[in-house]
Amino acid sequence: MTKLKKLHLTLVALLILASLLAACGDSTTTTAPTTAASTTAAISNTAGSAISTTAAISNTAGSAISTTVATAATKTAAIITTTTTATSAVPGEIYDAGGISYLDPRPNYQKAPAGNKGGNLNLAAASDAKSLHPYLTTDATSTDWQGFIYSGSFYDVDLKSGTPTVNFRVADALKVSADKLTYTFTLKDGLKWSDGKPITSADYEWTYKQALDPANNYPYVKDFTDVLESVTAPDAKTVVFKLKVADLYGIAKTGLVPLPKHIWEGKNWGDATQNAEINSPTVVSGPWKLKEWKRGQYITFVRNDNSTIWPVPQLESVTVQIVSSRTVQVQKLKAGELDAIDLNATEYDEAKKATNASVLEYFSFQASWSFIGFNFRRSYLQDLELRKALAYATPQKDIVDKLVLGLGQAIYSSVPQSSGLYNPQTPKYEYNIEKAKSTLTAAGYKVEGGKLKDKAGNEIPKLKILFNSDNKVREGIATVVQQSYKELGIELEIVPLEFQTYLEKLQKDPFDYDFYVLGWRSTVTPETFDQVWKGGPSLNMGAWDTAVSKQVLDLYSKANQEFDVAKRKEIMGQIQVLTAQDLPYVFIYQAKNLSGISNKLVTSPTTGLGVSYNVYTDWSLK
Amino acid sequence: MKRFLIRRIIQSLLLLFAVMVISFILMHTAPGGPLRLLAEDPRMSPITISNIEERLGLHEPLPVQFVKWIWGVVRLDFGNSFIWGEPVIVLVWDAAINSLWLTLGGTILGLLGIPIGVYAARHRGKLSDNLIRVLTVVLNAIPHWWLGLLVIIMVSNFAADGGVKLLPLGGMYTFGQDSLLDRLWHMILPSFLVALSYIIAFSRFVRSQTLEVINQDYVRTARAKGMAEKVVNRAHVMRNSLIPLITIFGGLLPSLFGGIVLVESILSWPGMGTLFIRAAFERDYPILMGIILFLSILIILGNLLADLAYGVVDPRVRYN
Repeated sequence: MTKLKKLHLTLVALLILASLLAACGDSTTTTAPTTAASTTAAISNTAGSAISTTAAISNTAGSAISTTVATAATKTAAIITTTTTATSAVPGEIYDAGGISYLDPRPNYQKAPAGNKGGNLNLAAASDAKSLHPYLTTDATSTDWQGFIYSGSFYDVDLKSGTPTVNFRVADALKVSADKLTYTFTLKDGLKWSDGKPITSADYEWTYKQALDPANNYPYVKDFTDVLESVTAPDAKTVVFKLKVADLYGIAKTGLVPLPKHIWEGKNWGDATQNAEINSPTVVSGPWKLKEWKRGQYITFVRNDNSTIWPVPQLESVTVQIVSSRTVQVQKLKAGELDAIDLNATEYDEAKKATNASVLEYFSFQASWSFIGFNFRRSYLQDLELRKALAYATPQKDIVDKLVLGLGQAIYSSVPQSSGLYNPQTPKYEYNIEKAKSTLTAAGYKVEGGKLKDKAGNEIPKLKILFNSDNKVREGIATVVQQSYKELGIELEIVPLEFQTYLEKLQKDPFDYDFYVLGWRSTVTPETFDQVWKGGPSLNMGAWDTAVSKQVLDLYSKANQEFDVAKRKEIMGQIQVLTAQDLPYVFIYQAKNLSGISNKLVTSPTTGLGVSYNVYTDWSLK
Repeated sequence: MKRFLIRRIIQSLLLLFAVMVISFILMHTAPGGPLRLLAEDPRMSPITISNIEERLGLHEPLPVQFVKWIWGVVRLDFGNSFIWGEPVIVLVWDAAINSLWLTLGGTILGLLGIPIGVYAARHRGKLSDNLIRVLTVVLNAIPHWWLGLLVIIMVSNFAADGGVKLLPLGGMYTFGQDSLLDRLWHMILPSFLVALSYIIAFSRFVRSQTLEVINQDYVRTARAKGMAEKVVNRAHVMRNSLIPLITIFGGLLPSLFGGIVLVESILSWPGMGTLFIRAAFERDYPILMGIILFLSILIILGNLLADLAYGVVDPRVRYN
């Protein structure tokens, strides 16, 4: 009897095992690191107008986020192929879209490709937006969706160079004063709100005043107060920006987008329970209008047939579903429930298998890059020779090849290779463990009993490396360097932490760590990265404050006031060399941006901003 | 009975208060906070952050914040969500109703566990019993959200290769075509995943209970006096072995509304689990407190109801 029972049990167990294996197929590998972690991905912050911001902490080292980032960056992006120097505004010179041919971008705006007029585009977001009010939120999804319905920024991103440029969809002319402090924009003829009323300079002035009002709590009011003296509307078509300082990206930083004064005036500015226009706007300026927003589930936009800043979209509607699991997003793409999604390196293989979709790969102007930061509060890490040895002992190429499956490229300073300002002369520390050892020996370090000792004979203690536990790539980096630093006689203790706890450890007393693995998402303007170095412990966590860092900061402020592109590039080149020489970080890699796009779609041409920079207006169904 | 009830209600209120105090303290002592992420943003000025802090009421000492919150609750004002600025009660209620759809479907399917348990007990040691036992152990060991992912992958592969989509890949209904039928179709996979835990729990519980009752003297007596096997089973075995299930049912009440965190998250079901995850990650204190309060009330209520139900079902239990 017992024998028979055992046989039964074994048989049943085998049967179940077999059926499970059969069920898994070869797809199981892609199902691992999703769930809760995917929610935090939204933390990485793409701010209102990416033109203006400095880098934001990115929680997802390998994330592509093409659609999110691109639209966020370019609420009003357009293809301007003729000029790469629009920002080098010569004082007093008039930019006239009709008169000066080499600056006239209109003939080069991307013509919408022929396609079916109609159809719905299915997109996905990992988390729901917070509000559709452009002056209340900071999260990526909100910014993204606001870009669907509101347009009108005077600045744009040049799709060739990735630098800010004048948005000629909105302004016909720009006049810059001799002192570079006054910018006078003339609005284009025929700009209209979706209800047919004209978009006037009064809308800009009114919106600016509301956003500036301290009672209205605009999170990015600093963008205004740091730079702007005033925004005025002398007549219905003229908007005058007065700057406090001659800042290269002064106006671009403001990213002012108007709200319809004739609808909003007299209503509550910030309380959605009092003002229905906030989350159910009836009058908009963007290419899309809100149809329905079902919290936590989806949002649907329909095309704005009165769209004047953007061309009227080819498609009838866009639906963005909230799908928090990236794995499920990929499966939905395969099954045709989604048409375009962002991918991580881990989903690359699975997405490649889709027969109905293709994977788009590019390096973004807004690079997401990873690094190992040093804590300069530790006396031993203040020694440049030790930092150099550690840089040589970091297998950059291995990390890219193995941890992100080759979907990335090395970076050597805070300016990624994908930037127009990248300097190829930047010193590189290619992995060479022998060179790392000899650097240490030359600096008087010794290894005794497997432990590294400095020239005074002090033993380097066991060092701590911190990272956020939901990020597998960062965990991998910590593990890889733990092994390779051991060869130098340095022992590492690996400390994984929940994301918020991690940030708190990095930024607050007692700063108990030696290294940290983190990432930044840069903006299109690497010139503004100085804000990180100037940002105190909340941004400059490791407190890089050396003789070189002061030099670098001086150069940054020069670059930010240099309107000549060639000269600015030279200054930025020096910054890269100095930064790489002084090693505030071991710079590791820039992630490749990946999107999965359904084959039934015709999209915009790929640029350093992905394919969605035109807010999907020229997308169509085949 | 009345005295028992009054005593239990007073006890419950005290318990509820204690739970809320502890949750409040734990939540606020956890690292980070709603403003932490804003501080990472170079575009934010400290003045703006402190303005926001003041607007959210986070500048006040913790005891003051707690008293204000309690005072709000007494007036049925649960505050507004930090994330969406909307009343907590609306957000939590919507999510609870969505979760109810899922869990109700799951529980009904889960009742299948009872006959399975009885069947297994009556066929103890046979192949079918072994099959059921091994299956329940294996399915209990597999995370159900993971199983859900596998099903999604299979469905999507099948849809991509065969062109037929057997099940929707998450969501509560097809956008723009919300009908009962469509919703039921969307409920199949998630309710099945929810039901799995119930089927497993019920069948194992019922099996062991039934086995225990079968060996009782009164069952033997019933048989000895020539009662038909069917009647023995119905009147003596089933009735007595199902009494302890009431405790389980009492505990079910909160999980009916509480949602199943990971299953909801994977299948994009806009229920309490999804809301809770988002609120926890963003430290949306009012939402978190609202959910904890709601679930605590349900747990306490569920237990109270179970106790009362005992008195009705089991003649040995009397309250005084």
